[in-house]
Amino acid sequence: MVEQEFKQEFGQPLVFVYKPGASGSIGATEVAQAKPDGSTIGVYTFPLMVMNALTGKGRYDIESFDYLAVASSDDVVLVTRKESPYKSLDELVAAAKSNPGKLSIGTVESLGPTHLAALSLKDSGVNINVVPLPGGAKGLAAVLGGHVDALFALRGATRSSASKFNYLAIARADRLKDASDLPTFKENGFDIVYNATRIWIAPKGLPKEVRDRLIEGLSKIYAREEVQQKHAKAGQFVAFQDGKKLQSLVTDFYPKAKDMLVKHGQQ
Amino acid sequence: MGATLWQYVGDGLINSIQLFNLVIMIIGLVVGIIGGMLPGITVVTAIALFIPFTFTLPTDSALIALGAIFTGSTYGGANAAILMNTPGQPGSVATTFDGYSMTRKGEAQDAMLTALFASAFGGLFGVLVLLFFFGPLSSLALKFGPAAFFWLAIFGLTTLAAMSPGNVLKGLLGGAIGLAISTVGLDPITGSPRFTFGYYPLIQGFDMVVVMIGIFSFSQMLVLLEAPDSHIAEYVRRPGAVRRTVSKLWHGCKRVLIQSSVIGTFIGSLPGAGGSIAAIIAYNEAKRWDRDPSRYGTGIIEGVAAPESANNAGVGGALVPLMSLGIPGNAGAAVLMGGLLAQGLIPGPQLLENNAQIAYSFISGLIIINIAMIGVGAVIAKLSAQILRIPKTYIIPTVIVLAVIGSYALRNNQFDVIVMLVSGVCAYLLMKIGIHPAPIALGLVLGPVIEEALSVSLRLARAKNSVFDVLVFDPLPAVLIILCIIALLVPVILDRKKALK
Repeated sequence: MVEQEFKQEFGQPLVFVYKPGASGSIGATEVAQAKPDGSTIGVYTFPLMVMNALTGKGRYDIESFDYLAVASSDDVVLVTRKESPYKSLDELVAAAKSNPGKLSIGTVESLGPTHLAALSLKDSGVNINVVPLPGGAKGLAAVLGGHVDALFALRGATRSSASKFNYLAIARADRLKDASDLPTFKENGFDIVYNATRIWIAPKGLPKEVRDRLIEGLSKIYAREEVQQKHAKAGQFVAFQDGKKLQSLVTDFYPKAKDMLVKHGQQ
Repeated sequence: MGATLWQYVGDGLINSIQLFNLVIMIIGLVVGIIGGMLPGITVVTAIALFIPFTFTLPTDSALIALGAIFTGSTYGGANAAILMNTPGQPGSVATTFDGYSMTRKGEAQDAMLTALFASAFGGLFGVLVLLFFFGPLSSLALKFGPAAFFWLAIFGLTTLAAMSPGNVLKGLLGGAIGLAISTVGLDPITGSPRFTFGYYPLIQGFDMVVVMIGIFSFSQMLVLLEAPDSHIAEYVRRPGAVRRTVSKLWHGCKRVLIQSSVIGTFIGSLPGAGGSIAAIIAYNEAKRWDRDPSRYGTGIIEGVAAPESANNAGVGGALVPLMSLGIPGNAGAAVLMGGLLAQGLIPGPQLLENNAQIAYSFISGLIIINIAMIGVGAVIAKLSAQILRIPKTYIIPTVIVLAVIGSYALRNNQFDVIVMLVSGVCAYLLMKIGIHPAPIALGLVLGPVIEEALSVSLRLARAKNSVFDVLVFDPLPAVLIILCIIALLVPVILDRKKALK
C-alpha cells in the first residue's frame, strides 16, 4: 500500500514477502526471529497479534517486538440485514433478554476484534449465541441470508453493500465524523471498543537510531494526503500513532485478553 | 432497467472491441491461459500477478484485462490436464479423466478443442446469466446457509463411488485420505491447532494446491519416468479437427453442455464453493444421466465438455454475489475485487446504482472475452500440443522444476516444497495399489467445506431446540439430503436391473 512512498522516504525499496498462513502468525514469527538490524520489519494486525501470542499460534510473545507505529484502523460495527426486525441496538438487546440464548450473532473471525466484541456483549449480560464465521465474505453472506440474526463486522468490509444493512452500533469511544448518526456501544451502556488495526513491528532490540528513523519516516508517509486517500478507498482509515503509544496499547490490552481467554476458553 | 440496460450492454460491447482494448484482452488471455497451464499458478495467482499492470491502464481497459485473465486462467488448466494428466489448477482435475485418455488414444487435438469450445460455451452461459438474472440468483445463493453447504459437499462426496470404477472401496479409501489430510492445521472456526505434533510449520496445514501439484504433477512425472515410451503419447495430426469437434459437440453434447453450465453457474454463485467442486459435480451428473455411464473415463468428448463448461460457467457465477452484494463467490473473484478496488470501484449494489455503466460494460466485455478466447485458445492449444513431440527426457525435468517453483511461490514457503515432494511420492506409491489421486483431491477440496459448514451449523443449533432443526428440518438441507440418497441408490438399482436382464 505504501510501497512507493516507502522508497521515496527511506531511499531504498521495500521488498514485500507476503506470508499467509495461520492468520498471519507465520509471518510474525519470522519477524520475531529475524536479526534486529532494521532490515526485516513487518505489518501485522492488532489485536490478533496479542491473541495469537496467547493461544500459541504464533511462536512469539508480546515482548518479542519493537513496536514502530499504528498505520490504519477499521472499526467494528454491529449490523443486521434491512429486513431484520432489529433496527437498533435497544431492540436487539431487548429481544436477546426475552429469549436468552436464542439469538445467533455472527463474527467474521475467531478471537479477532469482531469476536472479542461479541464476547464482550455477552459478558455484559446479553445472553446471545456467538457464532464465529470464517471470514468477512461468509459473514456478510450469513447475515444477508438470514442465517444469523446480526453480525459483528469491520466497517470497511460492509461499505460495498451498505444499503442492505441496518447499522446498530459502532465499537468506538466517540462517534465517527463521517457517520455521525451511528451511535456507539458506549452511549448504550456497553463498554465495547474494538477495531482491527494495522501495525508496523520489528524484531526486539533495534538500535535506537534505526528505530527512531523508521518511526519518523513512517509518520511522514502516513501524513501524506494521497496515502490517506488510498487507504480510504480500500476501506481502511489512516490513524497514525507512534511506537510508544502502540507499545502501551499492547501492554494495556494483554491482561484483558488473557482474562477473556480464561473466561471463554477455546470455544 | 429495460432500454438503459441494453444501451449499457451495447456501449460495453463496442468499447471492448476498440483496438487498444482488444490488444489488452489478447494479452490478458494469453497470460491467463499459459498461467493456468503451469502447475502452481492458479487463477488466484494469475490475477494477483497481473493486478499491478492494470494500475496504469484506464478503468475500462483495466477491467477488460482482469476479466480476460480470470477467464483465460480458468480455462488454461485444461491443456495441461489433457496433454500430461497434470491439471494446471484444481478446477481441471475432472478434465484429466477423459482428456488424458483421449490423448493416449491419439486424440489430443480433439480433446483440446473440446475443452476450448466447452469453456467458451460455459463462460458465455455464465456471463449471460450474470447479466440478466443476477438479482434472483444472488438471493437464491444467499439462502444457501451453512447446513445446505454441508449437504452440498456431502453430495459432492457421493461422486467418489463414480470416480473409481471397478473398485468403490479403493475410491472411498482415497477420499478418506484426502479428508484426513485436510484436517491438519488450525481448526477453521476455533483456530486451535490439530495433528501438528508440536511441529510448528504444520500449524498452517497442508495447502490444497501444493498437495495437488504433488499428487498430480510430480507423481505423474514419476509414472512417465517409468514408462518405456520415449514420448508421452503419440501425436497424431488429423485434419478437420475443428469441424469434427464442433459437429460432435453440437449433435451429441447439447444436453451435457447446458446441464453442466447450469451446475457451474449456480455452484459458482455460492460464496465459498469453487469451480473445482462445480466441475466434479458436473462430470458426475453428465455420467449419471448418460445412456451408458461406463463410457466415461475411456476418453469421450462428453467427459471433457462437462467439467470444462462447468468450470468456466463458474466465472460468471462467482461474479453474481460480487456484483450484487460485494461478496466474492470464490478466491478468484476475491482477488478480482482487489483489482476493482484499486481502480476506485467498490463492487456491490453501490456500484450498480452509481456506476451502472462501468458495471455493465465490465460484464458485457466478458462476452467478447469469451468469444476472443476461442481464437487465442486455438492458437495456444495448437502450439502446446507440440509438447507431445518433445521427448519426455526434456519434459520431466521441466515439469518438476515448475512444480517446485510453483509450490514455493504460493505462500513463499520452503516447507510447502517438501510437502509437494512427499505427497507426490506417496501418491505414486498409492497408485501402485490402485488408489488414484482424483479421489484424494476430492477429499482435499471438500474436507474444509464440510468441516467448516458442519462446525458453524452446530454453533447455530445452540440457539435452536435441536441439531436436527438446523441440519435436517429445513427446506434446502432436506432437498439436498434426498439428492444424496438418490445419488447413492440410483447406481445400485441400475446395476440390479442390469444383472436381472
